Amino acid sequence: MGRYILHRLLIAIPTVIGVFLAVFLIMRMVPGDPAAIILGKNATDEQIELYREQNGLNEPFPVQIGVALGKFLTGDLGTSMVSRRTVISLIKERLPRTVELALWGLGLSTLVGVLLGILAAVTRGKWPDYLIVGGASLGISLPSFYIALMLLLLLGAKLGWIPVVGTPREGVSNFKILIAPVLTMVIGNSAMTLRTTRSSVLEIMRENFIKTARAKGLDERAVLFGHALKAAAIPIVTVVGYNLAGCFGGAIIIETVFTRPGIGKLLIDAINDRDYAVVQGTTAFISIMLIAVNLLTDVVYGLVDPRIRIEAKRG
Amino acid sequence: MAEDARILEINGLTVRFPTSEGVVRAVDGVSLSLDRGETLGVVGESGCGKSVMLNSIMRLLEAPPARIGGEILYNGQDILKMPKRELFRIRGKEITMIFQEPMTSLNPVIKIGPQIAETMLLHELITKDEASAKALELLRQVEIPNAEECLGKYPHQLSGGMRQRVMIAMALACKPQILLADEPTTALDVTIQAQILALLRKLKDEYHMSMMIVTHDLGVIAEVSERVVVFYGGNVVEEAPTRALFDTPLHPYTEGLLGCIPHLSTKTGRLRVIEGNVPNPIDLPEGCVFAPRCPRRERLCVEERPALKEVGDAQGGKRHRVACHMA
Ligand SMILES: Nc1ncnc2c1ncn2[C@@H]1O[C@H](COP(=O)(O)OP(=O)(O)OP(=O)(O)O)[C@@H](O)[C@H]1O
Ligand SMILES: [Mg+2]
Repeated sequence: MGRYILHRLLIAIPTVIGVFLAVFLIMRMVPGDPAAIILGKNATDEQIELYREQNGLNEPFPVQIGVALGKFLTGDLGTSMVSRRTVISLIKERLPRTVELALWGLGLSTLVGVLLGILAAVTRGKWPDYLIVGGASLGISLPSFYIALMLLLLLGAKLGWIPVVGTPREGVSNFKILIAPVLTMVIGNSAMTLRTTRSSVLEIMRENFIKTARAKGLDERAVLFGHALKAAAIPIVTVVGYNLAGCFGGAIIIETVFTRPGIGKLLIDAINDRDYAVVQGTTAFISIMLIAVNLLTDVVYGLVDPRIRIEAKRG
Repeated sequence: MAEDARILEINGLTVRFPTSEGVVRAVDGVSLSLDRGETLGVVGESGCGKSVMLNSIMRLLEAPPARIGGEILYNGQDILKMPKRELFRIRGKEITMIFQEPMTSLNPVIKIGPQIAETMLLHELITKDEASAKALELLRQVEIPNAEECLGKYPHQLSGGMRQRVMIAMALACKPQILLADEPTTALDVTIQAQILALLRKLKDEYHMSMMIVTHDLGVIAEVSERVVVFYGGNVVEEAPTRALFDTPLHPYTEGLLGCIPHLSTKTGRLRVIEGNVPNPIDLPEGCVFAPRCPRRERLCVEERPALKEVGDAQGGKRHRVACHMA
């Protein structure tokens, strides 16, 4: 297992560098001069030129790449051209909010997804199943920004239960700020868990070992909870792992809609400002996080499935 | 007294599955019985309804969709009409079953020990420790080497033969009255097959069980069973003590089957196969199910389904019956 993790970490290095380079090139290809955007409409050509010179924007491309990559590899993510703060300190400040949102979103969407998935599987072909599966299709097909906007309209503007602006401040409980973004994630992300749970439970209920369990004299509930769900845990853990990645990704859009100052909002704002260092630093950070999450999923996967766990111990 | 000797009696069992192509008549009016302490062999080609019949005895078929008719009397009580509670009490305790596919019949994420102990914890008033001690003893009885170690293993760490032994241990856990074995050796190597059969025969005597063993292998029948029922197209076509069946087969299908066993004496070693195909269970013939392939077919055979009738002398009280107009 240790060797496997090391191996995965080693392949992660070129991946992260690749992401870094790709983002670098894409940002340079997007029209819009950062100097002009940052200095505003009234800036003179000289001012812009001076700014470009100071921030190394006039260097040839390969030099810019080399400098940025060199700094990146030594752990220096650079400084924001807008706020003049280091990218690392910006990420540190924003990260807890994103983690809070993503973990609540993941936890609740997993809970809802697994429970509804089991319910749908055991009522297969009857109305609860149709209702749940239909709802899941809706949840999957609606884009999360749309769900977010609808929730904002309903809970914020119409009912006035939650603040329309999601920036934490005095006198507004954290629950009120979190509820709508988390709900958005639950609606969008639980569908996948739900479908996977339903189909793997149904598939496993057809397996021979389920017949063995019934032949032992176990009733349907014991067969479901004692045998089927234990075996279904493997595909469910996998999809939860994908969801964790999805929740961090989804946070970017959701934070923007709810003006919640997390990593996602940081990234979107930086893209709009052509704040190169922040865009690069944040994307690199997000990709490292996703790789870590996927690795974690694989490790947990191995812990659930004895076939993998024992092979891993041996080799 | 004669009635008492029968532990299981199946009368006019029919099992149908509605499918998009039509109704599959998997079992089409089967009557047979199992005596106390007897080993009954059920033999027939693939698809003739053996597994469906066995699963019906345990009520393991999902119904609906399956439509099951007739009666299955266990100690005089109809299993098909039994309340769920009674059924769950009998299943796994008094009637147990081992399956055709040892590779997939054990739960892959639960260790062997707990899988065996589960049955005992369910049906008997014992502690977990006692159950796992008994599980160990059972593994020794089914002759698993390193039984102690095996308790803590997962199914994928065992070979097919070992898994089938575990299945047998599981089936014996509560000292059942009836053991149903559905092709227990088909998926195994020839040498392992012989070992498993020998084991079943030994354990059947030790446990004083009645056993019904399903197979398409006449060699297996000759090895373990005292009496044979021959299945064809969801029907019983012949029923006889094993010796009588091998010596004087009466149904043309049985003759064909016996002709299919390669004898050491035949130099060519070629198999004589019965011409034609097994009947389509969606479209079973009106008359005798074997008529389309039968070399002795007459008009009556096509028109009327023959009933099982007694022929010849009863050997040791066991009847020889055949469903054939020409016999
Ligand atoms: N659930 C089901 N739905 C529809 N048809 C079925 C179902 N189960 C079994 N059958 C059909 O019933 C017939 C008898 O099947 P069965 O499994 O009893 O055969 P078998 O004698 O055990 O054969 P084998 O030696 O291959 O195990 C087959 O034609 C099969 O296709
Ligand atoms: Mg079968």
